[in-house]
Amino acid sequence: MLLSVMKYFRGYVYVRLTGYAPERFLNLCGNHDILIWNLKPCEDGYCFCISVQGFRKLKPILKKTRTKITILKKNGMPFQVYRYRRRKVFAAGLLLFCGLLYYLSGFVWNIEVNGNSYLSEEVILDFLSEENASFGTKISDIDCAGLEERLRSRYSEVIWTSIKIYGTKMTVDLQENLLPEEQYEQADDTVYDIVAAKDGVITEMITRSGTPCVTAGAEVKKGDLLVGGSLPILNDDGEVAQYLYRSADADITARVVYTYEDEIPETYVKKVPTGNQKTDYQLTVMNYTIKNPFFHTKEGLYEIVTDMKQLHMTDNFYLPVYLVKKTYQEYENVEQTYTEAEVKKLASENLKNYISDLEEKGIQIIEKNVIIERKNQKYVAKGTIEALESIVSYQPTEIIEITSEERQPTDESD
Amino acid sequence: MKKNHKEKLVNSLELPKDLMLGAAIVTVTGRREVLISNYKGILEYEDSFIRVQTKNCRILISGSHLAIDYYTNEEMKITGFIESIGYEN
Repeated sequence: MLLSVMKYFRGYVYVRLTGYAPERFLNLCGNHDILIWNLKPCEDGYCFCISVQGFRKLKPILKKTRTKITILKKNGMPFQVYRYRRRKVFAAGLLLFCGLLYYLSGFVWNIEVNGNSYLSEEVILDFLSEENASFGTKISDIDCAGLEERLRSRYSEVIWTSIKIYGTKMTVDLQENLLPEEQYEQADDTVYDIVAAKDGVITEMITRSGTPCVTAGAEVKKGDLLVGGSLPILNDDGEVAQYLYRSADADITARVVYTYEDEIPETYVKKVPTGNQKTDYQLTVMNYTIKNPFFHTKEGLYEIVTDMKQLHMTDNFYLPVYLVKKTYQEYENVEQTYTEAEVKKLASENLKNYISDLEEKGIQIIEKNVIIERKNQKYVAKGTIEALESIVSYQPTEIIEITSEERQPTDESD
Repeated sequence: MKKNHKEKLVNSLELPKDLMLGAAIVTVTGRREVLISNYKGILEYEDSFIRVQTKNCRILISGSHLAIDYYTNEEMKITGFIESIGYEN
């Protein structure tokens, strides 16, 4: 295989040998290290292939053996190049292709992001495009070390990054701090009180730090102070000498009442599909849309489902080209009336959804009391839901300054 | 007798015979391919037979549609339909 490729690039000729002593000619060729292949006897002589280099060395041998050689066919690249020497545009195209390939290989065409879990790939790609290091940027213009530093300082979650460029591919490896976010909040110096997030009656309260201001059973309003972050220190006279500050920390559960209201009109409009359906295809490039000129719909009501697909070159190099598929489904409006059983079912389903939404937030339902009433062509579901939930919300503690003149004498007296 | 001595020596020392005695190596693959190395030259070549000169003897390969795939100073490859391989003094 390799040998035949070599032969092709060097060029070879297919020749016919005739004359007095062809066998001797062959033996002399062997002795002079001239390669001969595809040797075959043909009418009054032999036919074989010989490289161009070998052919040039044949002259003395031909003379010695009194044979004659005729070229039957020329093969290989040197001959083809000579044959196509006038095709200048083709040669220019070939050159242009090579040049373009070389030029375009100097840009980033693929970006791979590894190791991200909090930050999405889009965030990293947006960051890169803001830094002018996104797709299509000249590789020589990208400062990888600088990018790494800026990425780390921009996103505090990132504790280690490595940006490498191999060929036309940029690889962004990063390591995120996997400790939860709350630990950062604790680290800052501000002292927090706990205040009520909602109105309710406290059922349970466990204070770990801070000064509790309420007890279980107390009724609180939204914004009431539950656990203070300041601890007053009294002097001998029973006056406040100073305050010690420490963030409040407590689990507080309260009984909270939610009011629930839902309205269901008696009549409703139902969309009944007629079964007529048509599909249209469009192509959107940048902000221009190329529409199908042969697509028409009859007048009527249609539900249009649009399906857009963005073309991308690699996994994440999205081009501003969209393939749009629009499905038109014709429908008719039909007015219908609910029966009582249907309304009940609908109402209880709505209530169930509402409750499951609450439960998803970690709220425990204790009691629900909802009644359905019919009121001028409407069904109204009304009631209350009692629930247990945490009403802890944090608020910075007010720092009370005690003037130093007031404090110092007491310090000295100790 | 001198030749015999040399042969014995080569045999007992287990030296390669193609180098020491100039013996030709004929490798036959199936019925369509013969590879001959360590030869001196071609004596005769036709469609139906090829006669090759080696140091000690001549090798006659007969058959039909015989062609030489390649031909160098060291070895040659013959393809075609082979009927017999013979040795002549």
